[in-house]
Amino acid sequence: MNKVTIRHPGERILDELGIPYKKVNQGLFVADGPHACSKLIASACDSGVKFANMTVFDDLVLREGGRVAGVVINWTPVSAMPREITCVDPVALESELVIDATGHDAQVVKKLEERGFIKTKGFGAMWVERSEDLIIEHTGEVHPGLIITGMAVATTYGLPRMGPTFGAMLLSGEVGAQIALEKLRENAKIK
Amino acid sequence: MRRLNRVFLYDDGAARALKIEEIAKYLRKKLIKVGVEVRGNPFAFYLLQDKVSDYARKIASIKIQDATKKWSSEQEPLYGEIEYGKKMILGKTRASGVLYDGLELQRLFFEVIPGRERSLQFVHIVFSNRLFATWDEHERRYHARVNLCGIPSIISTTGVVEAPAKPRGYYLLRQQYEMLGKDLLELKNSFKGAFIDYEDLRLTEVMKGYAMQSVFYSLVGDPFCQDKGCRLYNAHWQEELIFAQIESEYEFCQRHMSFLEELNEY
Ligand SMILES: [Zn+2]
Repeated sequence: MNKVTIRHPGERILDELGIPYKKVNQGLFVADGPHACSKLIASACDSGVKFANMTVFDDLVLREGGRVAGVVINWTPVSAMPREITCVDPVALESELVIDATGHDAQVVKKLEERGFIKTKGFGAMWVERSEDLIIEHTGEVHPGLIITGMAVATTYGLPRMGPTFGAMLLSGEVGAQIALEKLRENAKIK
Repeated sequence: MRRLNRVFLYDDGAARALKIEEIAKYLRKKLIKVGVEVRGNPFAFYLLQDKVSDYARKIASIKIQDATKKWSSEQEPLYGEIEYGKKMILGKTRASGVLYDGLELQRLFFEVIPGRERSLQFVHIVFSNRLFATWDEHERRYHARVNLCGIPSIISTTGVVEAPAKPRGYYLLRQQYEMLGKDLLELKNSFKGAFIDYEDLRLTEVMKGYAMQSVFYSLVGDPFCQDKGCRLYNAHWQEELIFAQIESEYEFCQRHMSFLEELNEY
């Protein structure tokens, strides 16, 4: 139970983060789910990531021309309380970039769609069994200020949802991070 | 029977396992009097003219999202789709799996063929890793295809894996695998050999037969044959495909052999 499978070349990231795994087949590896996830979270924290625990994504901060410039979040318990007492104001967090890594839901992209800035494609052709590469190739900026990674990419572009494994998610995240770095450097130059 | 002038082979990001030079060699052997030329990237000419974005946009707009809805011209591609299209044209990625409308794709490739060569005397064959399907008016849905004959004929190295049906048992087990969230690679290994898979070593051999279907389309207007042992057999199952292209004791049936003999005597 609780195993995650990783296809080649995703194991490179497991190596980098020191996540133990076993080879089950040519090109197929398996790791312990909780072990892999906790190491991922820990290494994100080691790199300086701050988690806003018990919060939920509420809305986008939009700037001139519809550029995404942050998110509005709220406390999770607020959604469970009766409306009369949910007088907690949402919090707006401004940022140069937003990365939607919310998985199938693509919550940030969907919000942008509600606002009429983009039209997502839903899920794509169902018979394809190999779409990890496609997810990685489509990872990137989908709208000024907004980068998408992981399964949110499949939802946005209507890529086949079958097939992608944990490995593709790791690699997509890495590509997303590289693109974010490039964008930040570009922005810094302009300023 | 039409006289053939020349055969051109193109590579639109076809699977790495496909040896196009070997297919050219094979065709030269089968069509003694017809020149066979390997041309590489079908967009090569347009790469010089800064038209990559145009074609990337056109290709992105013929993507099929829902196999039960016929393609219409009103699709507006997203930024990431055009970027992916560019990478495909420039050969920077071989990631496949996006489904395209086959006839529209053929029309796009037709545009990049030089005008004087747009005739059935010339056999243009584009080997592509793009997956395409054709609309079935009767069933009101798309069906993925291995090849689509015409000017040019397009043959998909992804379609050869995905279009012909795999053994029934495979689909039953696949459902279980999906429910359990297990990786399909493991399942595929247990069916090894029963179907053509990605980067299959038999790919080039199989594709020789599909190339010949394109040749026969130009020659006599019909690429297919009823004989299950003939390379021109229109296989709907992987098992039939492997039989027609690899296991059958003969390459072509009597009738199609005699066509080739006649052509080579000319
Ligand atoms: Zn025949």
